[in-house]
Amino acid sequence: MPCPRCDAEGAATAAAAAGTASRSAPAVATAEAAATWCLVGTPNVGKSSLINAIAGSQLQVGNWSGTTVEVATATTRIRGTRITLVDLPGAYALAGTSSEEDIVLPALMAHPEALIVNVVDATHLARDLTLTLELTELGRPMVVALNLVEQAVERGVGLEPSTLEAALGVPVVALPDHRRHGTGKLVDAAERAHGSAERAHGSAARACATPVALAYPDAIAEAAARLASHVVSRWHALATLAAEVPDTPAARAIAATERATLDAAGIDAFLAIAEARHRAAVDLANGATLERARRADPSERVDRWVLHPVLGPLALVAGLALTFHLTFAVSTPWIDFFGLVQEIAAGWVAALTLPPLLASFLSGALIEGVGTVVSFVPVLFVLYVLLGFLENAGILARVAYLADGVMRAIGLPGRAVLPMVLSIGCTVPAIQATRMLEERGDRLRVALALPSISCSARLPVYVLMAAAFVPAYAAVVVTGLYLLGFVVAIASALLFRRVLRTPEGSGAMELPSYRWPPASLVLRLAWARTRAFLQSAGGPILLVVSGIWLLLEITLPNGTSLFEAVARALAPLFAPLGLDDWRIVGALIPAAVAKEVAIGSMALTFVGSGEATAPLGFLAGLGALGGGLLEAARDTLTSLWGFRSGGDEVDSVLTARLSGALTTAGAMAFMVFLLLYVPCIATLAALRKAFGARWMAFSIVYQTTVAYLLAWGVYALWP
Amino acid sequence: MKPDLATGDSAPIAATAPVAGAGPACAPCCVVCPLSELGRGGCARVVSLAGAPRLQRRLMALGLRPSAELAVLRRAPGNGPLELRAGTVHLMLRACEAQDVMVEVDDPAAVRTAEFRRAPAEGAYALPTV
Repeated sequence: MPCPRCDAEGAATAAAAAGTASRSAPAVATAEAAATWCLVGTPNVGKSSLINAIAGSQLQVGNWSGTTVEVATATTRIRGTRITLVDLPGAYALAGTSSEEDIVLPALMAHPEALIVNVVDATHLARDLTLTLELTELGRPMVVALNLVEQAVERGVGLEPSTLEAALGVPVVALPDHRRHGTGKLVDAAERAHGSAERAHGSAARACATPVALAYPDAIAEAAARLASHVVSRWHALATLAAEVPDTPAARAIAATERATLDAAGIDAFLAIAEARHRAAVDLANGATLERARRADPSERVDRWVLHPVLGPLALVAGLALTFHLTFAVSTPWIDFFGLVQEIAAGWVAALTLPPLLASFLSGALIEGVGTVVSFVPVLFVLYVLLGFLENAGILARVAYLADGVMRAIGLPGRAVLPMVLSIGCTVPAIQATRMLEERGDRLRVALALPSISCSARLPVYVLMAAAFVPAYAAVVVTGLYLLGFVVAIASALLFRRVLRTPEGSGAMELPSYRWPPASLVLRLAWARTRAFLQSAGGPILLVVSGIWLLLEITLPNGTSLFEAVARALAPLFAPLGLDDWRIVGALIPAAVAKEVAIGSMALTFVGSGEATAPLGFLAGLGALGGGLLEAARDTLTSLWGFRSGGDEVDSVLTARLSGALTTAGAMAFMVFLLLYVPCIATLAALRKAFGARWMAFSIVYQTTVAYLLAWGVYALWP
Repeated sequence: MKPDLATGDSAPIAATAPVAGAGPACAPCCVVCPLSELGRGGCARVVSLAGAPRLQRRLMALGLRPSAELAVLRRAPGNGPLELRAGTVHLMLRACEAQDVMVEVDDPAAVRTAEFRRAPAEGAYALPTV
């Protein structure tokens, strides 16, 4: 019988060569020794803390190729070896039960040479060792890193890593809480793991031995042995037998026959395998545990209040409000500061003696575009810091528990409450926040519904239009538009659930113990995620801003700008909505960058007061920059207590001219259309990054159709 | 008719302390009901799982395997999810998903709905063969 362990590497290499190679770990083909470590473990086990402790400054995040699942990587040099660490999503079992878990096994098979670093939660030893046993059956070099040992000791459970190491047959190290000192132990263990794997290859008898404690019923073991030559590892043989993973047709056919035989003998292969692993894991855990006087998890006491039927929902509302406040209040002074930088840079350009076209390109396209991209940095960074904290501290799971009942009523999982709330501020961070939903189908439905919710960029437009047309009922109209946005978002979520039939995530999830995540991890992860967004969204935003600059810049032979010609050509399309003035329709074009830009566009076309940038001296600019920096720092501190009163000044000349160009019904239709049509370019870039160009295109078409129909309805029905 | 747990027809298994993984140590006439029917504070043992295979595997991985003991710590208001403790793990489960988990309960008072507060017919729920 061929040994499944010895076959493992060759077959896995073939599988990787067949195209499963990953994007996240670049192949290193230098003389320098290189190694890849794949971190595998259950969710909340502290894998990211470990990667942060070993190589945190090099942390990068990216989506696993072809999926929306985030994988963090970092490369570092330890004892002359270049080690690439790959932090795979948390998984309870190798055969996935969610979109996130689904990539763990393919990722491991795509790195056939990698060392598996199995991070195990010492406070849930028996459960985590089940996954460890599965991993040992892959027959790969592997190390077990025991995490949270001190917490386990606090709960009355002492551990004996050496006992575990002897029973499992793979190196086991206990990670100290100050993990920097644990790296050396881990590297030693990695060397031992590779050594024992090589010895194992030399001796067939040892190689085929299963871990001491793991014993399957004879019928299962024999069936798995017969399957072994068709699959890459013992784990694959057992998983094929249990119909957990799709494998080669040949293996599947044999597995079906074997399963029929087992069924006839009254054995359910899946249950029998799971039970054998569970028993072995319990035995291993009991053997490695010193004390038995278990104390309750201190989180239970906290949860008595946090998950209380009355206090819990109150805490949820307060928590959501605080998250919203911090995300936008802390970032706003910095967005203003970057706006100031943009003005100063434009002033400097104006002071230079440049050809007019170049100067216009520099200030109108380049500085404007870069400014738009950079203006998302503060809000995204703050959001990612908060999300990283909520996720790693175990709070997000409580949000899911408290909000699930209400959110299920609109067909969304409980965690979706956070993106929904954030999108009142800005859709872009809200779409980024959907990544905390486990199932891709849920993420997609939420992300497609979010652009309908009114963000803060749309508010200035409502304020201006309402002041111009219905001054007495301005507040009612603005509130109505916000409500309409929510209604459309909820209706969209329900519609997508019926029509798209995307798989829904399970509500079964762990409520992990509360934990204080390391600040360096939260900050580094937030920065890596912000950078990843800039890299993917920066190009498209620059492109669109440049395109709109070009539209305004090009003058046609008859003296009008290309912008005016395009707007006039589009105007008849909007006549059914009561919007026949080209200046109104034209305002919708640059508003694709950010919806508030509609005001600037209308000011330019109606009033003609295109504010020319005044030339600015270099030193004066530097002075203004320093002042702005101080002001932003001061505002960040004061904003922690409350919002600064940002006055929206309404341009009286513009409102007067607007009311001449539009009827009240037309103005209502315009606001509804502006609320719902094409999401802004940054939102589209976020959608493309998360779900691909096709879903971005879908969102454009869907939102515009809904916007047109509703705006038409409002215009037709307005008294 | 409520079952008389003390003098059931079939002889009750001697009440020994349950051993981990050794299966139920309760009278054969104890109540079997969906987990969703279990009230706050109720303790039970998993009898069987149903529903989508992916959900079943997830529940097994989270610790809700046949013969595992669990306790309902609380239920979120408005038919929200249940919070359970199974072994050392705390987990949440939607009420609709809990319908697919059959559990046996020693104390019928822990069951919320009257129709489930009686012993199942002989052989209605077979224990898994493992």
